[in-house]
Amino acid sequence: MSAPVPTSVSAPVKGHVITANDLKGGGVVYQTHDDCWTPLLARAEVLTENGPLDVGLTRAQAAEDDQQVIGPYAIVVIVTEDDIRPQRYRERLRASGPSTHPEFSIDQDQLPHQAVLSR
Amino acid sequence: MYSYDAFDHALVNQRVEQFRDQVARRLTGELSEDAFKPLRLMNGLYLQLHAYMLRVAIPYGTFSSTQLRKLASIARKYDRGYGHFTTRQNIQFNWPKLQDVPDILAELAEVEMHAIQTSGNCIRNVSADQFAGVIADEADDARIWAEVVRQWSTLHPEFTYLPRKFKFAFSASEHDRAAVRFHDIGIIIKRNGEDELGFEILVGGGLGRTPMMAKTIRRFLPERHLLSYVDAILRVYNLIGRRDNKYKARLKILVHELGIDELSGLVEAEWDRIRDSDLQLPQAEIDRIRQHFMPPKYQPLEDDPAVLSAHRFENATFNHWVATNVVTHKQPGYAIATISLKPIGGVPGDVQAGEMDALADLADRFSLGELRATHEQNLVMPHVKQANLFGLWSALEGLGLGTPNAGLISDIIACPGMDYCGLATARSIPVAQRISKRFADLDRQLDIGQLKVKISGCINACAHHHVGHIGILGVERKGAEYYQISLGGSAAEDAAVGTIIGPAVASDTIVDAVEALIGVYIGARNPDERFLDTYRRIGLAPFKAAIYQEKLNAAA
Repeated sequence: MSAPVPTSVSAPVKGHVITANDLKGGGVVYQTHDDCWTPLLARAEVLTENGPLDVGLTRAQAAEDDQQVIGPYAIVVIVTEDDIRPQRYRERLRASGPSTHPEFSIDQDQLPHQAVLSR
Repeated sequence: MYSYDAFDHALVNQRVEQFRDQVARRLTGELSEDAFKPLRLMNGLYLQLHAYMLRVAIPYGTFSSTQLRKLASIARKYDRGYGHFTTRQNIQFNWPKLQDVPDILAELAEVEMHAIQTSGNCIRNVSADQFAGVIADEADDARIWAEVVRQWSTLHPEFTYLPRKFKFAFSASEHDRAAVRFHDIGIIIKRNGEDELGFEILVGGGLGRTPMMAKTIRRFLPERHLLSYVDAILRVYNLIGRRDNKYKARLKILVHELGIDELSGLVEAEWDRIRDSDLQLPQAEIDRIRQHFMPPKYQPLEDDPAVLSAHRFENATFNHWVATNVVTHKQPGYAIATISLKPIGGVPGDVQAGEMDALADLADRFSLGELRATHEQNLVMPHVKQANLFGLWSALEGLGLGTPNAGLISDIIACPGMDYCGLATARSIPVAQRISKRFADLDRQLDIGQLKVKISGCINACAHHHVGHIGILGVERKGAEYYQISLGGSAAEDAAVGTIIGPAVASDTIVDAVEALIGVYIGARNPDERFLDTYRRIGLAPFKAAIYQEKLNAAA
């Protein structure tokens, strides 16, 4: 596992987050630095180099083999001082919930930014 | 309505227990996702963007107030308090948890419902004209024959792993309300010169990335041969349909590549072998199924009661609702009422659990406990006394479901799009909501007249955008939502695949683009011409110019 570093981000950083769906509930989840899975993108581990990404995907595969998640894959995110923003629109919708039912949205913007960057 | 016999109950309950075991084995890891996926799909369970989605079949769109109450209960108990009626007479729940699905299926089985074959490469839920059995111009009740095919195709061992999904639709009227020309097999029930009942069989229709209209493979098939003939079609398709490329695996591609004459020859050869087999329908079996669809005991009534005329005179909105949402019933004194699930600015096809319960009560009170689901994402009360229409509408108004817009511009078909669907490339529902709000004014909608707007969030075309008078397809361009417009399509008896008007437009301009199209129509229409008629008379150019002229001028 790559070592987490503090989250101080002075300029936007491009990285990857590993996402999947929870096997039991089906919900969107993100991999954390300590091999947990969270619905909160703000808690996700951001991987900023190819090496850690490969390791992260291997860890995610182990979680799939362990019946925790389904179909893990990496998404591109932009990390700023304020938030972690998926690059693709589809992933932004996955993170926030259906735009047609705002009452179901996971309001990622309201969460304290606790990204963990792994290099 | 059809009601299960002991065999049906045993089959569905057995299936529930099989799936319960499969879910348990998936959760313990005994089954991998790869092994489990085809099993869950055969039971209507998808994994979408945010959650699992369970698609429940409503065969040929007919269901009861009891079944609707159960759907409401499931929405409340296992989901997030609502359901979504689809474009194939199904209902979807968007938030079930995997471990709850066996219990949901068991509860559905209690009211003779299931999710079998609502997904997977098998014969899907058989759909039919939502007015079957009550509309005056039908040759027969299409549901009888849809039920015959449903029983034959359910867990059919030979057709469980087809090259691709396979869809049937039935109509028994000259007016096609079931989009039969855009199904793998479309069946039009008719009578010949000797008043014998039979079927026109069409094959190879479909939408998706390669939209094609079905071609007639047999003009008149006697009723006893229905199963042997469609079995022959399925056998030929199952044997030589392509399995190397999922985008070329539908029957429509086989029809296109072989040509209808060669395919017909293969089907006829197979049919010769099996036409006199057990697949020949015994009259006793036809009669048995027909008994389930005998008309209810209507009261002897006269058409156009004075009380209806009085309410129409006194209440303009009710009068509009009758004009747009009510259709003549075959039984004097009764009416067929369409309940729009498209309130202005609402999500097309969504119904809250409380609304489901209320609609079930209204069905008991006004429609002999029966409802229909339409492929246009509306509901129907099929047996309403004309004298009770005002009472029904008043109650619907109280629920926010009395919108008088059936067939108008705000009666939009929209797929779930990227708000839910894992395949989507753009959102559909918010575009439908924005168009609905822009054209909210009822007088304006009535002035525009019949207009079928259909919005799909990807090329798979679940909202049938190819056959919209105005079709809208959401696409992704450089991370943003764009919308491609096509014009001139129709899923009805004047069927056609629409023509793409030009480059996709940005999300923030799509409603203006629709407005521009309407402006061209209003300016060019002849009296009594629908949008579609005007388009077909004047062609694409004026509509295209209205949307792109500014850009063309800028480029010049």
